[in-house]
Amino acid sequence: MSEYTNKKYVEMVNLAKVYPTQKGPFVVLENFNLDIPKGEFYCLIGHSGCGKSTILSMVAGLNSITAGSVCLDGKEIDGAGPDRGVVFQSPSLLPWLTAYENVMLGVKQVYPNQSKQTMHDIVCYYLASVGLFKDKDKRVTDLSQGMRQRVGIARAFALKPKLMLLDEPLGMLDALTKHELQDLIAKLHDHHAMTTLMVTHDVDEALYLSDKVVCMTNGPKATLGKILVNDMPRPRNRSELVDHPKYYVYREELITFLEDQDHKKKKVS
Amino acid sequence: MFKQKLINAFELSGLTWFIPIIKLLSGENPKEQGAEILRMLGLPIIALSAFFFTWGYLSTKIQTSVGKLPSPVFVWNQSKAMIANYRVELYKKAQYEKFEAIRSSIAMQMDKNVNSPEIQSLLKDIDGVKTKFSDESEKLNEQIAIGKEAHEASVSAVKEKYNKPEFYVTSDDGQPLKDMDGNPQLNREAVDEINLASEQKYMVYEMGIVQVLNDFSSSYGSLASRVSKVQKYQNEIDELTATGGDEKKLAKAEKRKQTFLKLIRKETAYSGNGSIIDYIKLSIITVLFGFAIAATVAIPLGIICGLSTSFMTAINPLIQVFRPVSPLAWVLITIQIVDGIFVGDLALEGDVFKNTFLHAGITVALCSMWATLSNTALGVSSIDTDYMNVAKVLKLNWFDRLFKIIIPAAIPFIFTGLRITLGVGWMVLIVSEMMATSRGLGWYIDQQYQNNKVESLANIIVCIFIIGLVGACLDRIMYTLQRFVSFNDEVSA
Repeated sequence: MSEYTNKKYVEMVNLAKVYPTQKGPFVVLENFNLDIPKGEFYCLIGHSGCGKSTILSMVAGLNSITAGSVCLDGKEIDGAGPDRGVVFQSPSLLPWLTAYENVMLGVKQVYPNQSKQTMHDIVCYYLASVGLFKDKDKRVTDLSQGMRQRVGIARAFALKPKLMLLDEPLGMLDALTKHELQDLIAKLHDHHAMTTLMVTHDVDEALYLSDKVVCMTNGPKATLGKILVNDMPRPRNRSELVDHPKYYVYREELITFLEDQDHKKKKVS
Repeated sequence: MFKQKLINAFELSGLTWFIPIIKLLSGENPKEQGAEILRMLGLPIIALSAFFFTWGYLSTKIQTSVGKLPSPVFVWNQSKAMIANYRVELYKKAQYEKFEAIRSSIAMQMDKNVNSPEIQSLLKDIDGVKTKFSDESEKLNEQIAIGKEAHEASVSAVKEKYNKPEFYVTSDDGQPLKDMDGNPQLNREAVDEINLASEQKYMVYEMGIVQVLNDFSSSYGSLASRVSKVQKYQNEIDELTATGGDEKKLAKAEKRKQTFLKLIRKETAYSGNGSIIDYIKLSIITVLFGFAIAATVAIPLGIICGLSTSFMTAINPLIQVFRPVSPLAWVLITIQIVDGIFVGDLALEGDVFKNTFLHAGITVALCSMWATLSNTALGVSSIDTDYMNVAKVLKLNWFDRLFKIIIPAAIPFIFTGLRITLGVGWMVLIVSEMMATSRGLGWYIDQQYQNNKVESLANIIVCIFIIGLVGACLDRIMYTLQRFVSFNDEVSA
């Protein structure tokens, strides 16, 4: 693999999203340019309605791209596909299946030529890595919200995607479960070195997980605001991280940015 | 834990009023559970008693075209008589099978040797059965006589009560009118009351059994006499062959012997009158048949409608036009089409599977399938975008998308539709059985209606309760299934 594609493993060029409305076109996002190198964890942060999730769903191929392009590993994306794993805000599991069957559904798609035993092993491996091995045969409806999201994460990782897209995956969880799952995501990222793009509005979460934090300006006509390089050493430990000298500097920087956006918004209105 | 499992089962089926009873039995907080039972059972009991009280009161006031409206007590007696008839029918069937067993073993033995000791012992058995029958019927007749006396006493008490001048019909000049026997003519109220008393059933089971005993006693009698006839002719034949007798006489005796042998060999047909349980069974089988047709047609069509808006647009006018059509209209055209196809040698003559069965079943399907069709279409077309996103991310092919995502997601909707379909089907069934003369509950009600008696009116009321109860049970079953397949607990009771 060339140096170029490694640096620009994901390449978004002049990305824009326009919704036609009765009052004329509504520009959600324009001129968005971002490159993600291979194996890095990017967090997308911004106020609600700034088009973070729109970017993510366009990259996932679930939302059409109005203008610009997205390339993954040198190829322009066209529709959704299992080379991009998605973890949605709601777990989006199929409630009529068990945890095992939910993961198996994806595994069968991605490893169509493997033997049954291999597929079974893959499913069990990923369920075990999210700590759900002994609950694998429970129906999704019998699992707690946090456990469901774990299944969602296992399903996404089991696809071995080139790019992992996390769309506020912890937004609906309570604080304790949220911490547990942040640890889980950090552990999985350290282990698999998966290129990841995560949408969040939690500054601490972004600092804990990411290599770079991408800040978005407010919508409409949102675009890239600034990129913060989060160079705190990995693997990170939550309690040590708070004591790191850079932690509060970065945190301050991000919060200032977000507050500035807030003021601008108020001035406009 | 067993207790918790039981409670879950009742919760699933919606029979929640059992739950406090179980909790009480297991000794859980008696005071609270007792109050819960009083609330869950007490209130319905109060409502039911109010209903029966009102009915009882109205039955003394309302005049129908055949007499007074039957009171709850009269209807209750009538339903007991129906059950008695059913038990008689069961007894008759058992006797028939015994008789057939003896007849066929005699026939088999006769083919070997008409004078064998086995036949003699079988004949002895028959004699035994006949004496047993006459003993039994004598005993029953004694009971019947007592019952009859009581019945007649009560009828004459009623007659006495109404044999007063205020109940006489008078002519214009105030003179009481006389009937044909020279007794004073009673007014309508008195006549109705007397009829009601004399139509009150008594000793239904005993009388029915006596009838069966008499019937089979005579069947056994004729069987025995046929056997002895065959033996007599056989003896004649033996004698003639031994003495080298007349050829003509020999042939004649042989012919007569064969005639009786044939009669013994012939299987006797069972002539049942049918009972209320048979009608209920047939009705349930018919409605399930119609329901099955409705489901097999409506679910696939509904799925196609949900998947393709063009298809939905195409057939929507047809659905809108056919859905409101009354079962009475459907059943007539169904009868003609079915009878046109299954005619002559093709006519269906199974125990259950008759032309009339098809008439009623198909009508049920035609009238009830629409709810399933539209619910399935709705379920398929309104599938959660989250599920579709999963399908897109996994790049599932069309087949997997349909069978792993769309149909499972639509299952709760489909079952809601099926539950409505079965409910509508059961209502439609009664009407179509009346028209199609399929021997189910609807047909029975029509028969009773033609009878034009207070007694038959009471039978109709019994049937109304049966129809209601069966309908409620079917709905409970569907409700339970619906709860079972749904993955969110949004099922309306």
